Amino acid sequence: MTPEQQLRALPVVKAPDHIWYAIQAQQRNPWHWARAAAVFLALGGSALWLASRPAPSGQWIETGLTATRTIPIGSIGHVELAPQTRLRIDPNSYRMTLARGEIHATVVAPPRLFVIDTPSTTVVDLGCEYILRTDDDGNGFIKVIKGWVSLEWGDYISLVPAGASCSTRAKQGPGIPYFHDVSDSFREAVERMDTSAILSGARARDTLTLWHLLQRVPAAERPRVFDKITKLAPLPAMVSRERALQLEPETLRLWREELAWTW
Amino acid sequence: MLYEAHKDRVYSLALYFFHGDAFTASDVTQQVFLKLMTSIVQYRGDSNFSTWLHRLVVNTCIDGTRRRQGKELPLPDTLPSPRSLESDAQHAEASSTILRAVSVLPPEFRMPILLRYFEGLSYEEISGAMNCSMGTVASRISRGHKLLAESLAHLKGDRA
Repeated sequence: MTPEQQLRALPVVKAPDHIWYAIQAQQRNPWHWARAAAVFLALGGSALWLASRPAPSGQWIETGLTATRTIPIGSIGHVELAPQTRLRIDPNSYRMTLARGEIHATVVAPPRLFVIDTPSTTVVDLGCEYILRTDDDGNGFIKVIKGWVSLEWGDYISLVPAGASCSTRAKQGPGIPYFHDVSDSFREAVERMDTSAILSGARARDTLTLWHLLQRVPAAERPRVFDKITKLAPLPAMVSRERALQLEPETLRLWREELAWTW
Repeated sequence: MLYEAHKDRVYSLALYFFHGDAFTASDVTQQVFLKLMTSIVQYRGDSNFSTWLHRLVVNTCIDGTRRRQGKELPLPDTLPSPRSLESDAQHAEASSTILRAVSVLPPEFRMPILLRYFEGLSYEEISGAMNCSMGTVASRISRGHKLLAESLAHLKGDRA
């Protein structure tokens, strides 16, 4: 038999029963919590109810100096608001506006269903969990815990995977993402967009940062960013230097798909 | 029932992707179905259900790979080939050999190879499940073939 025939002939293995019990237990958990919450409410925990009541769509929600609040996003997840946060929920879609403060979003939904607008970027959920912060000046920061997030602002798009963060600047949009385990000097170089320092400090995994940097530097600087990426990761056959330097969208997408396996 | 209909294929795909690691395969299967059950109400039929399910499996396996990054388990001497299901000893031996060869493929080639041959998906379906172009799928499968052939030759050499 050829390898392909052998692969086709691989048997389907029966999933162990304990998986289903674990799923049931996970599904039951919310009810345990709901019962516990009901008892708590009966004992006078109305403050808890106030903190978790359904959010009024279309209105601004503000948390106080020390208060937090959890808001369900339909049945696809929830958003936890930190103190001093101001958020609005669009009544007609899974869309919110974060004017200031910090939220922790946990979403399980098809990509691009849930969106948050901030003064410096639009955060498009690609199925994930993240912490998003924005200050009174409109500058922001995102830390992705699971999955991917796309930060979109005019022509700028920054794709941030789990384990990475990205700053956003008012009227400038998203910066370039970097992994949490980078050195302090590398992170500072990214924040001030110091191309030379970024290039000299990049590791193989930092092609995430370099792939974005390539699209932000002036055309004359692109060759040295390109060369650094190809030093860290072999150039895939379908990616040509010429097209990459011209920032041809399809070429960049194919290249990202290949690089992303190391991110 | 959704779980009954798909659990064995999801578990098997995860098991073969994670080098026969039954613990991780169970965890992936659990996560996939929890995500599926939570978000099924959002499924609007604008994409094939099988593509959506496979996309969940692929993403969960990739997340699992990321979590294991740097602490990749060594390959066991004998992969847990489902010998109990094999009536033919020669077939069981072939399954074990091909699984060892698949196990050493880098994840970016291992997943499309499994989707193509174990799951029987078309290039178009794989491209939907992996959220990449058909060109990328074709290139990865082609490179996966070459690596698989090298690996099989090596394994045969070891046995000889």
